[in-house]
Amino acid sequence: MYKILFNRDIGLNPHSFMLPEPVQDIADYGAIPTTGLTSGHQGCAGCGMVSGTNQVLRALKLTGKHVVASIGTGCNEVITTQNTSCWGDASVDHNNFPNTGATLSGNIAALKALEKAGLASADAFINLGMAGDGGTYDIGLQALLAWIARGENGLYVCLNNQAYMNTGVQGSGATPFGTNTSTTPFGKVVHGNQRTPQYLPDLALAAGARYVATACPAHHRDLMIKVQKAAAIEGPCVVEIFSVCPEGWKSETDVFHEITELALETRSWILYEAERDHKNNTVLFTLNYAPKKYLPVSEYLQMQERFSGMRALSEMVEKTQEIIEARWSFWNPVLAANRTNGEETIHDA
Amino acid sequence: MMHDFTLRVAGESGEGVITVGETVARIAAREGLQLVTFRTFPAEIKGGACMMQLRLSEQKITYHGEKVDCLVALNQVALDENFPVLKEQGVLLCEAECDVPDDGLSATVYKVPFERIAVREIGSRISKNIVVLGVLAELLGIPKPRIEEFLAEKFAKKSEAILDHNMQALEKGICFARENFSKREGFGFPRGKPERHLLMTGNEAIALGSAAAGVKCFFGYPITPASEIMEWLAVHLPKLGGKVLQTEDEISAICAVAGASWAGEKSMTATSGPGVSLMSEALGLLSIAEIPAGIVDSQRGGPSTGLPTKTEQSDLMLAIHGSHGDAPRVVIAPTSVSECITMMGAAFYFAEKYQIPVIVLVDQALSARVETVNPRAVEEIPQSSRLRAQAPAEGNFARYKLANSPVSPAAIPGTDGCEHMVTGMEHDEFGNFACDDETHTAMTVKRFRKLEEIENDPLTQNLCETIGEGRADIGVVTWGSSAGPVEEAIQEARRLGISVRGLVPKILNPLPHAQMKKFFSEVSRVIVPELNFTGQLASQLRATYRVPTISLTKIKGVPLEPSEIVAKIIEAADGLQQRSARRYGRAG
Repeated sequence: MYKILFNRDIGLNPHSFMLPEPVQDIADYGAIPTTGLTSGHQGCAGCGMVSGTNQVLRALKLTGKHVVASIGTGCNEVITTQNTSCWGDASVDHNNFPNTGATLSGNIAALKALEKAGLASADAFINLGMAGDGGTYDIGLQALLAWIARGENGLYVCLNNQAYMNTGVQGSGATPFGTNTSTTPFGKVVHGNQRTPQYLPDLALAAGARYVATACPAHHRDLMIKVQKAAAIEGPCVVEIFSVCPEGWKSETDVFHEITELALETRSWILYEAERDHKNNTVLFTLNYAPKKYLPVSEYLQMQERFSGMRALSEMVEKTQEIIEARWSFWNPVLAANRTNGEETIHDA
Repeated sequence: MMHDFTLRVAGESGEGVITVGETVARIAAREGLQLVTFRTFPAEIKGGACMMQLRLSEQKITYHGEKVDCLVALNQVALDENFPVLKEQGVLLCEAECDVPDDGLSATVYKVPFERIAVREIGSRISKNIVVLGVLAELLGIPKPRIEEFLAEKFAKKSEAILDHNMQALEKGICFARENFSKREGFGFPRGKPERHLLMTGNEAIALGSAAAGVKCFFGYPITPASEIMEWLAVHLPKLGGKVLQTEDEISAICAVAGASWAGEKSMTATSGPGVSLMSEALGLLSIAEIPAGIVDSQRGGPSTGLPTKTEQSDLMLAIHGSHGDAPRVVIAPTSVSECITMMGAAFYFAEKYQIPVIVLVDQALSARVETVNPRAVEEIPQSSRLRAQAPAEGNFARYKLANSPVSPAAIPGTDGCEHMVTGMEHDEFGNFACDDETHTAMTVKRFRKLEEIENDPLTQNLCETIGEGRADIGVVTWGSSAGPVEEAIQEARRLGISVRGLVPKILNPLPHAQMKKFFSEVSRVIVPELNFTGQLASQLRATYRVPTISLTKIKGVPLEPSEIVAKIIEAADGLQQRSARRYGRAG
């Protein structure tokens, strides 16, 4: 186990105790690199994953290093491999469904060997792993946790759209409670997904990740800060990106931001990050966004037809609210501190 | 009216192509017609070219047809890509703005401003496909009330306004055709018999057949093109007292099957080639631990992610040999949607009776195709149960008893007096780890003797279909969904005067040796058409029977076409003639 520490301040956080300098906030930087995920991809209209990948690549551009990506099978792979030029100057290895973490280790080992032979400098590269929630929470979990446990230097991004979308919307380990998917159908007796999803940052921290963060493309400054930090911090880092999916969530294609905002205001998605200090066995948690007024989760359920069955059942909505409150209660110390105008120092970041 | 009619609807995914095809299919089935469909899927999640082809007939058919009588093209790309499959005197129905190729002059062309009618007159672009349906109804003579009945059912859960839009679109389509076109004589829907058929996809049939065979536990992981099996069972199996569990990967799925089956329930999983690859270690476990299991492999283009939405028959070797060590299993391959139902019964018959894993090989084309099915097919499913053990009067229960029969009585865990261990390690009769040469030999022989018994099982004799009788110059052997085009090719070759027969083994491991040997003794040359690069059945036949074979392979992601097979038959027949001409010094 580790000791939990909280950052007193809520908000964007370009600092890390593991980095000598803060990373770039694109608001200060001026021009954002334009060569992220470029045209030619085949993402659906309103896809959050496209925007997420684009921002990840743009943020990595700010580091000036060459991206070597291992991408697992999934939506992101399907939409970016028919026209590989959309990856710009990144080198991409599409591997199988279960082994994004393992391939990442292979890449890292090879770079080390090349460096020893004087043929490359590992510093010039960023080892990026990318997979969906199915490839992360389910079939790829063993490879991911093993990669983290090896303590290697790299960045793993999970594009979480909360189900298997490219194969026809089957439930995954990240599917929210009550969701109607083709393998967790909403029926008269069984009402959609009966499981509560797991949380990737928890799993990654338990395995020993140095830095974990959640992000969403609608808050691009926050996302791009987190990706830069994950790229700069020594050791395995994991960023999970909330990826709106009109196809699987049965939502309109033009409400990308509205859905994200509702997810944040209802605390269905929480923006936070955590940095692990192995020496002192502590983890410093930072909450990056706290809604001024908590909206009831029923509002988040409205815009998405995947919840159309469960949102009509008050006991299911209540249980969803309970799941949210339980998760949010983790932040009570930092919220209490902020209510007293930050007088009470929980931790000096 | 025509006796046999083939229609292809082509457009972009999302344009409603499939709805048009499905509506015509459902109405045809209700009219008592037999039908087989074929559809392609774009690799994109949304958008991309797609098409659905339907062949309707008064007779039982097993193939979706090579050339079409009527082509509906909703855009220029669809027209250009699909025009070559239109018969010379066929009918083309296309969007008004499309340019018809110059060589299309012999076709009857109907140009309809589908999009304009939908947008201007209905006010909804997405009802374009219903306008198409209206025009088709008028040209083919599909009774309007039938379509209205179907639309009312399809949109029952939607608002009245949506249903209204669609009814209007249908009417506009019919009116446009009536006002602008004259119907072509003798062109239209075949007439059906006054009997109703079930209409389902291969995947639905597999799921239904499994439920009817008594499967109570399903474990699976999403994969194209097999996911619909799990999706169907997720809805229906719980109602039948069963359980469906989506696991975190295929390794877990097959191992959960092992657990559930050991505990006494008929259990299965369904996946595609990449999934079977992950499951292959557990296939060895199921073999050595003698645990019954059903594994459906809906093959797609490989290796790795390969062609995930396209068809191929390239997992035969994987199914027969995929695992480590000597690990016997049964492999069966249905050839039609109807057989998907009955073969699941056969799979569990073998699995339970012989306590062995059974792999059912289908492919994307068969999984996704819609076909009329006799509602009584479910009643034809063979039933079988596991040999149950009695607690021994004294001493320990011998789970793996070496006796005359290679099948030892099994006990549900927890049965008093039958406490036992099943294990993936080599074991003696009681399940104790034993790595001495005698035990390993005796147990391996025991496990492989099951295949000999299966070969002689009465059911196995029914799992081989012969086309034609007596001696023939050419014999065609094929498997799985390639049987449909092969059957048609043989008929065509016979019309051309070639002496040709066919053989379709539906059990591929063990092969039905008696029938195979008899067939090979009666034909002079053997052609083996299949959808893979290496000729996997052909090499299996060469290895087993030492017969020279002529491989006809195809890896284009689509089924074989009868004309390709006919060409090969002609080539082989010509070669044979030349050879005999040389031998007897006569002119060919």
